Amino acid sequence: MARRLSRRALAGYAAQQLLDGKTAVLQQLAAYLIEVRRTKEVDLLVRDIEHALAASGVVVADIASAREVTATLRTAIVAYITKATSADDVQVRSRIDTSLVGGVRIRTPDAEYDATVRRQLIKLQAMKV
Amino acid sequence: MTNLSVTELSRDLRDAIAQLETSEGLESVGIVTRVGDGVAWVHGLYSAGYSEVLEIESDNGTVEAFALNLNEDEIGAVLLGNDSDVKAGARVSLKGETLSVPVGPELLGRVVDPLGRPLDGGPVIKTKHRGLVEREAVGVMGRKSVHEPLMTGIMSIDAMFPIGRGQRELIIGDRQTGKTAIAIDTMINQAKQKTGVVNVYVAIGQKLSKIARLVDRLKEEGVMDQTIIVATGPSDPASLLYLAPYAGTAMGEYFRDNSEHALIIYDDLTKHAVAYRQMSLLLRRPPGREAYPGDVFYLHSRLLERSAKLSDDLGAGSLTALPIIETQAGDISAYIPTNVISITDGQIFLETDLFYQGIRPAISAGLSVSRVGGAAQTKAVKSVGGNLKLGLSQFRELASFAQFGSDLDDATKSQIDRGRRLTELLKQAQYQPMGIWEQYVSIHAVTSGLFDTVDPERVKDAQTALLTKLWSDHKTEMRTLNKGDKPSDDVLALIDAAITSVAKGFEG
Repeated sequence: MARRLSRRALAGYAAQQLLDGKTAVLQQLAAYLIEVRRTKEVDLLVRDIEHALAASGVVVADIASAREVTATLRTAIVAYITKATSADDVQVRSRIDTSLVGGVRIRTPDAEYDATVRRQLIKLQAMKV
Repeated sequence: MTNLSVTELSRDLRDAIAQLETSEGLESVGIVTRVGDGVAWVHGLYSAGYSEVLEIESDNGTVEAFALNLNEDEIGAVLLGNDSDVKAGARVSLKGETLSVPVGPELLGRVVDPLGRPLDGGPVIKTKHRGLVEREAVGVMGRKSVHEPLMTGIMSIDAMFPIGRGQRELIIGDRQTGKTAIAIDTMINQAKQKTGVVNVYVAIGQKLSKIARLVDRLKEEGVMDQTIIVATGPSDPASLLYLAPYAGTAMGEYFRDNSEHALIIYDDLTKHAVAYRQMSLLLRRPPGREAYPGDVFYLHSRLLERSAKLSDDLGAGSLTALPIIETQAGDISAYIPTNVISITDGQIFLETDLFYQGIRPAISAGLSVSRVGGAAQTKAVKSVGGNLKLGLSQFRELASFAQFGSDLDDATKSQIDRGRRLTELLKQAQYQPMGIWEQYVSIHAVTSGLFDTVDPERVKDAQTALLTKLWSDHKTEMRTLNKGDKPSDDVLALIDAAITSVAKGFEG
């Protein structure tokens, strides 16, 4: 029986292929996941690939805010992520999430900067004795 | 050789500092992938350390957990709170510290859970210090041989299996044989003899009603003021049961490290091993013998190794451990009992048969041993207790032969009679620990042969009369004897006179 490949090993391989411009790896990966019945892990695998990419200098950041992010703020956020993660290339996905109430949340593959009102409220709740 | 530029080094260091300061806001996070049975599996947090505390976001604030399985793809974390509050997809962050509990004198007199939260309805405990739950034991050079006695107040233990400060002495036996009673009496004796030893009682999965009764009793006896109780009940999560002895040890270590003396009782480590087995199986660790994980020996060895007598350089404090193990049908060769027997410095084995014969404490003279306590025994008790163990073992063997009703020679008869008296003498009611002078006088009365005329059925009455007489007539001498030194010839003469006088009133 073939040894079960860890998600991190798969992600490392996929990230390297993507960095080399070989996008066909996604087809291979999909076929492999179906073959070994691990399609449920796809979300976690994507996170792992993003993590492996970040280690190579390509950071995919997810920006969530209660209202539309202005161009100036977006530029500042990219600059912040570039500096904080020492990334060569920062790719940003932004979305509106009204449940955050206010402020902005930046998520990189393995870290988070949460300056939302929702986070402050959760912290207050946790402090409640 | 590489040429180093100091100017560049300085610039690089400043850049690194600037970068770290910038990334301060970025917090390492992961997500819960699945949760159940008190265990959460977390994706991400690749920088998490073993035993590091994680904070899991929930609808009711946060739930803490600690990382026990660091796998390539995920972390297995054991929850310290209710698992129904944790949902898959919940955000997990690192707390940046390993588990610690409040320690210090502020805990004295309190009943707490393994995280130091009060369970006695009292105010929140605010201490100046915190102690690490998992901590390395003191090294070789930081230790000293056990040499100071830790009197239990139980005559048969102090005379035959003496315990020293810093020793680990196992109390082992079937259920309902008086294991906890020995531990409680030892705690009470510390208060009665004013030894200054702090008691830490760790209840692992004990019935809450039993803990409540214990607390009431300790309060009645005036012991609670120098006692900390770490309590976990059967309904608590396995993680808390697992942590309880380590948390209690951290609390005891505070006193040990501050040149004081502490006594810790783990009641009991069988339940602790069972809780750890539950956690390990849920964490998918491979089961071994009796389904316990491979590191179940290390679980207890690293815990008990923290009990020690410190060297003078480290303040000469001590932490004495009395772990308790429950056996099934007297089988001391089971997995956990043999493990703990090999870790500890001796064991007190309690037998069901003796218990039901009315010999209480039901200590087996043959199977019990104290490997290092002899050096710590007081001179007074040592002088009379030297041959006690051998004599008692011989008596029990001879007594079994005597049952066949064969004619016995006078020497054997006398040995059996003395053994019967000794057995009666060593019976001791619960909550009545005895001082050194009481133990010395009682044992001396029988082993010297001065009580040979006393009816074996009336030995306890004769003992009470003797102790009362000596205390009322020779209080000063008895107080001196209570310090532990061997009595002078004058004192011995007056003790002998008192024994002879009392023996006349109880002749059989």
